[in-house]
Amino acid sequence: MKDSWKSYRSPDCFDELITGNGAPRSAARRLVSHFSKLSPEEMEARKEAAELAIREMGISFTIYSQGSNIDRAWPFDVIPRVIRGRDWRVVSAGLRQRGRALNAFINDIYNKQSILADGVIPAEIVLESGNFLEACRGIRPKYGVWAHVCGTDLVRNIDGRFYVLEDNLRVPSGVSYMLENREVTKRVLPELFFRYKVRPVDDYPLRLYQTLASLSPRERKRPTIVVLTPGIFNSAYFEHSFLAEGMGATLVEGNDLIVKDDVVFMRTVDGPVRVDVIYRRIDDKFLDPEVFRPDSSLGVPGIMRAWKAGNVAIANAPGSGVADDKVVYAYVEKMIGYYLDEKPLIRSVKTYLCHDQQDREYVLKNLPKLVVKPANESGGYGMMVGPHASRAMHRKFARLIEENPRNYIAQPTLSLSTAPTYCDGEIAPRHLDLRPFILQGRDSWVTPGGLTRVAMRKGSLVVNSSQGGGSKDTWIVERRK
Amino acid sequence: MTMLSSVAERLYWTARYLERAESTARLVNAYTQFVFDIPVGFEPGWESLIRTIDANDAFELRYKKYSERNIIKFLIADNDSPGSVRHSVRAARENVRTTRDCLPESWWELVNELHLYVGDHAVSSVARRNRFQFLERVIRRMQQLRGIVHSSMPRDQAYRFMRIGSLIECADMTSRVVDVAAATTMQIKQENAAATESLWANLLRSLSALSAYRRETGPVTETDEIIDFIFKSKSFARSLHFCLNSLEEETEGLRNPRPVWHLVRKTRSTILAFDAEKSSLQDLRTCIDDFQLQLIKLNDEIYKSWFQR
Repeated sequence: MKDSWKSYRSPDCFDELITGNGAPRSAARRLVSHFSKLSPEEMEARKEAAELAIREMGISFTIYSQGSNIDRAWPFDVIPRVIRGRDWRVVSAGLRQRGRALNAFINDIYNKQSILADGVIPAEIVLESGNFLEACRGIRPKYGVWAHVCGTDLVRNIDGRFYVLEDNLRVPSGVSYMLENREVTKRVLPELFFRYKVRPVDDYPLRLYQTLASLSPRERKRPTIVVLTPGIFNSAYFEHSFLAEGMGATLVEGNDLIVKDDVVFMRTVDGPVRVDVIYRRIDDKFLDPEVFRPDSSLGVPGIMRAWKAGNVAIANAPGSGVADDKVVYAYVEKMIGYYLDEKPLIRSVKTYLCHDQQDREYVLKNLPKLVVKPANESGGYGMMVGPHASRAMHRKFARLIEENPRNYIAQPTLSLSTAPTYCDGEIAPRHLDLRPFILQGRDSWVTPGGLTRVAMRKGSLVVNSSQGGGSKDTWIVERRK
Repeated sequence: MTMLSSVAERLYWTARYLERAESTARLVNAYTQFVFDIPVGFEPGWESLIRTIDANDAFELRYKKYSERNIIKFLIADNDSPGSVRHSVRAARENVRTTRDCLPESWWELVNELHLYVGDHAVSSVARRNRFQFLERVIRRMQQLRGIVHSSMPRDQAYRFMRIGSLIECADMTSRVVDVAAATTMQIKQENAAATESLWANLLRSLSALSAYRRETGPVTETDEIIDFIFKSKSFARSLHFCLNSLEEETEGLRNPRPVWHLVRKTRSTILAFDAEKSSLQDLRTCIDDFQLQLIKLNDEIYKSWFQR
């Protein structure tokens, strides 16, 4: 594959492995030299071995539109993304800082609301958001932490710096793919691991366990922890079971749990057993039919009462979503100053709020240059990437914004970084992002690296797995001593 | 750690389905071997294989003729025929998918592989030429799965509920295999005495019981003795007696096992009281019918005791 690597260039953006003049970055040198030496047949064999490993390991994810076919092998690129350890340490510190500020914000919003009183964030933005849950007012979870697991999406701009694209504080998924990607890479490229010092990722389930255990309302050496899943037809079911297994926790569905006298129990072959911590992977609004959607059969009637009474911990706490609203996102840097009196170590992307008249005028004038996103949808279904959209789309979004400005934000189109990716027998640049996971309980912790998602189609900027994205293993490499 | 009722139920069915897939594979294999031994012109029908798993209605919905091809297709390759190898493996896999966390790590991968293998090969294995190899491979993989459970699973509740599922299904299938033999014997008796002997020897083989039987009773295969062996042997792991004894042992550590024990004991005394020498084949079949009804009751009682939500 020597020629393919030699001629590789990624114009107009930062490439993770190869510099502008075609030379490998220092941390990627050995990796590039390894792949350059492979013949096209050997490269194809690596790819097939990875596909086989994935199929055998049963890695699958589902997308809603596929109906009864709930298995789908999941696209994986064998060339790892390499990030220098010293670059990562800055990012990691920035993520912890951000996590602390976001949790301080959520706790404030459901209690004193001083940030609103002080006029740092306009009150109506927060209180009128669909993600603000009145039912959570006055609650103070242990350590003041609401979002115990946060998946933050990062992109690397042309300047080579990481920016936060969004914070996912409700039920972020993808961590199991990060872990499985490493497993697959170990099977397919064992020889490469001898030439690098790659920070391991496989202690995630243990860290998650420790975080969750620290939330237990009862002081017990081994609290009873359950992972609450909506069931097999949920797109992240695989991950739910994977994490339950990794933590030695019980994977439950709503009808496995009952609430008696404000205490949550699970139904077992030995009769009811009290539950201390619920790692819930279902949305707030399905959590408790007594409080939220009465038609929901996924949740557990009475679970909110039990939580409010302090008899059970729920992670992430209901109501955490108030901080992952895309409008609230625009204020996170201010929160860091307000709550922590610190400067942000990792930057957000400049965000225009369409409900603000000045911002809106700018957005409507510059639609072809901007990315427009709905303020609180996830999954990349309702967004518009200005430079790639038709004029009809620009007009459509202009209309949508004017009809409902609060629902939209816009950001400059970043030139997402690329990395060499094996596509149709060639090594070609593909855009990618990165989702690290931040855990917060009594202590806080950030995954070394995270899940790198790749837009497998040429030129595409959309990396969501539900829209044809794939992924790569992510290596944080330390210098060998 | 204790176990969710819903998970216990799925493990129970996982084990039942895998046991069922293996038993069906064994039965088809043994019956095919048996048919090879019969002179042309005297072949018994294949229909008893369908009757024995109570699947005539389902079969007739799909096929007009009880031909070998249709029946084998129904028993191993049809995706949605209840009890086919393919359906059982798929159903087991669906259950394993949602209980991975309490099974040995390699199980999910192996069951997945088995599912893919069966999906790729079942249809082409309806032909006699490929059938044997396919069924053997399926059986081998089942043995591998069972071996892993045996050697690496802690003897916890997960293990117990799987074991209970296996035992119920094993007892069920063993009794059904005897039923096939009885029905076929009644069909061929007058015409061909040697065929009867071959039939019962193949029956033993389908239960992996041939060498155990020889060691216990010698090489002559007498129908009465075979029935006695399959019903009452204390040491042969697929005998009805053995399955019932093990059921009693496996439920011992569970909460409130008495109602189940009561049924197990009642069923066991019926089996031990059956006198093969003095009974006709028709009596035998009636006894098997009763036995299967008892198993259904036992299944209901297991639900009431541990799975009810």
